[in-house]
Amino acid sequence: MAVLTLLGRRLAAALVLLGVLSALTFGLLAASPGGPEQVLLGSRPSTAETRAAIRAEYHLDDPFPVRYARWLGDAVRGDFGVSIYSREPVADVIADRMPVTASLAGYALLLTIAVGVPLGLVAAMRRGGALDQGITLAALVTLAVPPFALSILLLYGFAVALGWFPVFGAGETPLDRIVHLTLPAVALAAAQTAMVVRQMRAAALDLAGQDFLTFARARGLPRRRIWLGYALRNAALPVLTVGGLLLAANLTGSLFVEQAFGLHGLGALLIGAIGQKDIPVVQALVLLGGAIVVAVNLLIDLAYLAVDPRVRHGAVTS
Amino acid sequence: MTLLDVGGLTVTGRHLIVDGVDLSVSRGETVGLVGESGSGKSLTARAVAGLLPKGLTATGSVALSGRELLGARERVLRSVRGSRVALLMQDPFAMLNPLRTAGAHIAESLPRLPRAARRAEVLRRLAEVGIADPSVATRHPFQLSGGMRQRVALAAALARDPELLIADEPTTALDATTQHEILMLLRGVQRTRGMGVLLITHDLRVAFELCDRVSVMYAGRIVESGPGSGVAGAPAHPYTAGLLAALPSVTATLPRLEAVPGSVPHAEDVTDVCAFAARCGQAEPDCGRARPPLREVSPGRRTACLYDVRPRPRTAPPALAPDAAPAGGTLLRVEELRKEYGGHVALGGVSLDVGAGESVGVVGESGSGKTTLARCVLGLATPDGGRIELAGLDVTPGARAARREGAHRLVQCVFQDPSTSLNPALTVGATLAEAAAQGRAEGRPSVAELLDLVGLPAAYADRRPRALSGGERQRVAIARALAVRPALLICDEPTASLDVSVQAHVLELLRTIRRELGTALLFITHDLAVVRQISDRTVVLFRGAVVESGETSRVLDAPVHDYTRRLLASVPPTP
Repeated sequence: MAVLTLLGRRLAAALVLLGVLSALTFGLLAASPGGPEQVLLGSRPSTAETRAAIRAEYHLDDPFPVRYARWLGDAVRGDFGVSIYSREPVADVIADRMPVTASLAGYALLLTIAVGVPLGLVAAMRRGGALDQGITLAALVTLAVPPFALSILLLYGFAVALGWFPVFGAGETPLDRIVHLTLPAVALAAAQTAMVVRQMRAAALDLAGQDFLTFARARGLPRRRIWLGYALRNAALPVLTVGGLLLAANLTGSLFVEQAFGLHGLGALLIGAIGQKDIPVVQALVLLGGAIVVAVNLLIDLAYLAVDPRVRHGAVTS
Repeated sequence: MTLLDVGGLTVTGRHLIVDGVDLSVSRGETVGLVGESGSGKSLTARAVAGLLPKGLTATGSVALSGRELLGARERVLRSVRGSRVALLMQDPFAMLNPLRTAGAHIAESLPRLPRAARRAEVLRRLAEVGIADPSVATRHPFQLSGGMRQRVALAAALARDPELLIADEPTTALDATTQHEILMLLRGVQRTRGMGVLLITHDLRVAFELCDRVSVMYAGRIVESGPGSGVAGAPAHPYTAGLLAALPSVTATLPRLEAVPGSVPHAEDVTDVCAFAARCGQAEPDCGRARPPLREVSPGRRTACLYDVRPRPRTAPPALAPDAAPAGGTLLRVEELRKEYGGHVALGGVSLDVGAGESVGVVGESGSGKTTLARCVLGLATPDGGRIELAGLDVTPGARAARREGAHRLVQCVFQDPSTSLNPALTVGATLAEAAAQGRAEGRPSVAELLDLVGLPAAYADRRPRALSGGERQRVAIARALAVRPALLICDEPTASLDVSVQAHVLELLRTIRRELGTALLFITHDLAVVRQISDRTVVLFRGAVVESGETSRVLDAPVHDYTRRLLASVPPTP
């Protein structure tokens, strides 16, 4: 029961959030300089007839709420209009770019968790030792290097000088794709790994002083059980939140890295669309980004429900 | 046969903490290790289990049935822990993994068994600790009460049938009645299993009630040991005598509560002298020359004092007639106060009066609503119904007619834990000055006056709470509450987190303040002995309702309600 109430509340909040976001996004077009018809015309010559044609085609003479409702109705059905630049449906353009960004984001998240969680745990275990200080320092340095700078360094080192990885593109076959995406994923994951390391270290340190860990040791439980059943599971809660937020950030914000590695993903699409004042594409991307963040947060809530019985029974709210 | 033999155990971190402790526990025997906070008793227990926190090292010898454990490899220790030595810790709320069920805790500690047999075994183990309801096995710790959690923890600790159980303050975090149940359970389990138990506690009464032998620890060393009854009847060390004298009695109001002056020194600073000499009323020059050895006074009795303890003039204290309540009319009137928290009734129509200058005790266990009552009177919680009147003003929070402004000059509060109720970033002086500035300008007390009021030197104004001991911090908290000269002081368990010797000091201070300033007290506590010492009238709260009230001596000597009787029965006898 508590689970349903919690989910219901979260879903309602997500819908409200998306509603606000969509209104703002739609407002973009209406508020753009030169009026919407100028934007929709792009760089084509504007005559009185073409402008009138566009006003009619896009129902620009209807009141704002009506236009918004129509646009929203189309958007919900996956129709975001037509790209001004390429004249293709916006949904197709995005669907075309999605796989690259999705695999890049997933790959980066995998790297982040696979490297960040163990390093954080080890650092906490060897608190104050050389290893801990090394890991903490490395995390700080990595955090300080911006992704695009790291991208260029990686490109130069591993693709140009050593020639281990391709310089450009996303690859065709699945294996090819992994090879192509390795360097971008590393560039994207580096700073996030550093964040997860610090988060994990703090969570594990917090845990190390807990009585239930000492009590588990006092009962002579095997070390594996203590680490997995006690330390990792309890430390996972805060890391889960960070992991989810990172996934959302990867999906929506990998533009620097995509640009540096010449990947045709959503980031590159966004940069292009803004440059070309391709408002329908920008609208769709903004809305998509918002939807992803909201969806990922819902997923985090679900994960909490699965991991933490206290949330499941409504004793605490996450 | 000796089960555990500890010899010359020394624990060192940045400082010396435990200094040469000798201890032994035989099969079927319960040994108490008694001491106040900072005496090193808990770290002694941890060292025995090989579970010292990081950064601390132990030297000396810890032998279990002749096998040396100190310095043994982690693998050896892991095979000993649980199956031969078990450790039960203080806080049942922190000891269990919040993500696992009660049954899982027990099951994972059991030796390998087939699935069905394991489930039956878990239920059998729960039954052993007095949990007959099998559904408890599937519940998570947060769904269980403190007492239930402690039972589950005990079952988990005993799952591999250890020969020695180390119980580190196993009942300190629990209510009086639950405390008693758990102690009796511990005793029952110990007897049926013939286990050795090392009980660590700060509560002399608990130790004397439960233990065959008792060792008293002070500043990292043992100062006295002997059979429980012997130590209780005729302490052979001035420190033990001082602790006993500081114990409030539940049967009589003592005219004066004797605190041990000063505070516990660091073990490191007193290695070569008697650790207690600086606070001892009968210290001689010899005491500061060399460390007194534990000498045998009679078979089985040892003391680290060079002299015989002078008997204290504490024969049959003339039961003090409670100060006649000054006839000043009613100061606080609470009528039919009701408050619910999401379906849980915290207060179900509570009424009580406090006269001007009167001291009223509110007794009850956690969940009885006593803290909610205090919060409502203070205006920190809004009641769902009822009326609170203070000096003739309606101050009910949330009520339309309420006139809260100025109420803070009428009522102030001293909270339970002075280490969290004082702002760590402010000096004592700044804290007091800030509090005093809330009062009326005329007659505003200075910081020095306030410190003097609670018996602290004026130089303390420059210190921060960190640099004070627990008792000193609580005295600062009292001074802060008195800074606006309130007519009513609410004390919410002000001595619950303090040691016995310090508790006596704080109680005596509150009595003096009441006598000299005429401040009325609303004293909230779960400790009947404390309420006996401090209040004229007592109100017993049970599940948000007043079940009994009247003169303190009447309520405690001739209780009418069942619950009051139960509370009284759970108080260990005062030695």
